[in-house]
Amino acid sequence: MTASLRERIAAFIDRTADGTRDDDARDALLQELLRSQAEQVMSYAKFLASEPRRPNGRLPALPTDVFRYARVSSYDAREDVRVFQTSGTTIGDRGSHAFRDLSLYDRAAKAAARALLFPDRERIRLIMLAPRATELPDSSLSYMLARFGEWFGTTESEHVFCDGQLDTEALSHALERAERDAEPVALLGTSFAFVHAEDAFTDVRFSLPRGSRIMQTGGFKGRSRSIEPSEMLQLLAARYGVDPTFIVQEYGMTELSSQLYETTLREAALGLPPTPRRLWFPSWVRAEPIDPDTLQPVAPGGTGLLRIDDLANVDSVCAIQTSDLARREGDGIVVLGRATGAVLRGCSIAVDEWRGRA
Amino acid sequence: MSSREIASASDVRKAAERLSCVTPSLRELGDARVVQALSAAATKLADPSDPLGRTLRDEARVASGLSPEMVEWCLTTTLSTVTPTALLSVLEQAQGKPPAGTCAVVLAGNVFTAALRAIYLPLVAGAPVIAKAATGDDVLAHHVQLALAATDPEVARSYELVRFAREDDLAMRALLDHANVVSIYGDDASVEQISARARAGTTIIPHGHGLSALYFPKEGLETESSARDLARRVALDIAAYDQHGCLSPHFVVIERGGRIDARRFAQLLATDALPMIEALLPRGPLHAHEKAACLQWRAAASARGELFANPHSAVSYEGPLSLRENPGARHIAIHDCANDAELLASLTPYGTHLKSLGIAGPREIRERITTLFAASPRPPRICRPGEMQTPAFTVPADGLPALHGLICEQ
Repeated sequence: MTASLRERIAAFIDRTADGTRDDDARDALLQELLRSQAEQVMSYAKFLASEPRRPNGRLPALPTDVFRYARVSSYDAREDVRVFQTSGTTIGDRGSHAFRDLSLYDRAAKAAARALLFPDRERIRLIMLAPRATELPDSSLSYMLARFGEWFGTTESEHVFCDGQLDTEALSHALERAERDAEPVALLGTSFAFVHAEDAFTDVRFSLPRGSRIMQTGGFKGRSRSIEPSEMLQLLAARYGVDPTFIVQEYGMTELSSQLYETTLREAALGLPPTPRRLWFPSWVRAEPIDPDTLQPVAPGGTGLLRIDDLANVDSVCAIQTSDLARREGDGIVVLGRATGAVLRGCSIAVDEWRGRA
Repeated sequence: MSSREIASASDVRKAAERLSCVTPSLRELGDARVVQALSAAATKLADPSDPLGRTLRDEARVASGLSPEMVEWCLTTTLSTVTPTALLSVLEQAQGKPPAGTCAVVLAGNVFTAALRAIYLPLVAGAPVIAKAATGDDVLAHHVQLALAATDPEVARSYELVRFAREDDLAMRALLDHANVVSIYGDDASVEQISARARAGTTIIPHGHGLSALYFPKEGLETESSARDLARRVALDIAAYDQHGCLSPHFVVIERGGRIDARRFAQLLATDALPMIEALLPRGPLHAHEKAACLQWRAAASARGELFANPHSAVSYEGPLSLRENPGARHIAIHDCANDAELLASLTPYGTHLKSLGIAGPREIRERITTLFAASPRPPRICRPGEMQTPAFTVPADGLPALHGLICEQ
């Protein structure tokens, strides 16, 4: 990829950071970037050689599993400055996403969070239910939260996670302090960490100051009981006394450099008319459900596998094929959950799982 | 209660109590009569012109998601194993020992014909059976009940079928409380949960997770034409049940140094054998999650080695043994290895989950491989390629004799 393309992408992110849409320009940049990656990323080139379909004349997206088995990168590993790894929802190989430059990642993460998570406040006290980046340097979530601390956090921001465990006592103290100080906070964490908090707090309820917000991300990954999203929303609202519109899901993946957020907080905070809850994708991202048989985008209203094209993925592959089922909702999408193979396979369990048990 | 309603705990208890009061018992009716009834019922179900055979096929297509051709193949190959000779042969294994008591069978839904053996084995041993149908698939278990009632109502009284959700604790307890033996099909977690709820002293026969594989020592792949023939037999093993079951192979391991190498075999399987089997036994439609898994698997295959893809099947050549998740739906990875010892080392982690191993080549090779697994407490079934999905009624399952747990050993 040429330096000028990277610069043009950076400029595009800056130009559209306020939510301005320019899909034609985005699509042109995506096409140019993906074509260059088809030549420079060996694992993507190998994939393209075995995948003849070209939906709407576009190159197909690279399925996420490839990140588990091959390096997906346009440059030499010696230039790596950071390698994020997937959390390993199964026991097999973890996926890796290498970076030689995190400036676009930062630019994208900051712009999306500013627009959707913190549109109304320069800084806020962050309470992070996730490990510190120093504790888990290969976690993209921990990295992002560390950056959030710098960009959006007050000096009182803190992590309530220690030795791989949610520190419920620290969380409780932080919440009580927010109540006492009447100062809004942002609770940021993984879904399973919030479930652990639910299980620990039992009858304890909090009433966080107005303007407090919750960002919940990721699935449960077998680390806690699973809870349906609508039930989770109710539980969080009731537990922390936060308006449901100020509770949003973040959709991020190790294989991406940009994040998607639900829309309700932005609308409520800026006094915009409310619209159905959905994931908003930034102007430099294209997210669309595709038909797995044809790889073509599904018709409006249809359900398909989520393909995400992310301009900030400059040094790997910008078109990523997920296994998440999604449907369009207005100008956004609703993720319906992971299309897992476990249900119908019956006794035929995943090989990886056994390998891990042995 | 009509026979296909969801049972309450009280219904299950009544069904179990009915079983305990059945006279004459299967033992009193005599082995010959039971064998005759069971084989006649199977013959009835195997006949597509019989009204029961017809509804069985119609319902199985819907419940299993398999193509009509595949459903027919599954039924034919399964029901044809239940001959009077086979049933008598199983009885001989009992050596006149009495049944261990009432058998509760908890069925699973991934391979719809598995219900037959699960229900028939205790009955032929003389044990009354109360079976809990799999959620979403009671088809064969239900039709066995109807076919038995039509052929010998007195034998049929020793078989009760109930339907309830696995999560229904009270109903499950009612099922387990009346059983001396519990035969459980399903994933390992279900087997564990149900086992834990059985009364103390109950014999548990677990049929948990499993997978199968194929191995071709270099003597097993002599010529291009024998490799082509072998590929066609392997294609049948892969295609059967659309690779849903624990007898379905997940990977093929080929010893290096033979005349046909692993890559060439992968090519033959993908370009010749699997398309041929698809024409005869088409794959059923896939759910979205299966399509997603296939997309991911294919892409990873291209990264790990070489992919040979068809619209409804795919084969990868992935070099040395480094096994990974398989999506089923007629997708298989081919690996190569140095020798038997490397094969054994790579399969050992699967332990008793390895259910079946197809071996190419003459009988002596199968004997050699059987010896390799001799130390395993529940060794895989060693068989020829093309026969992985069609075990005889009499053979051990899950590494255990057919009547294991179903008869009094003392």
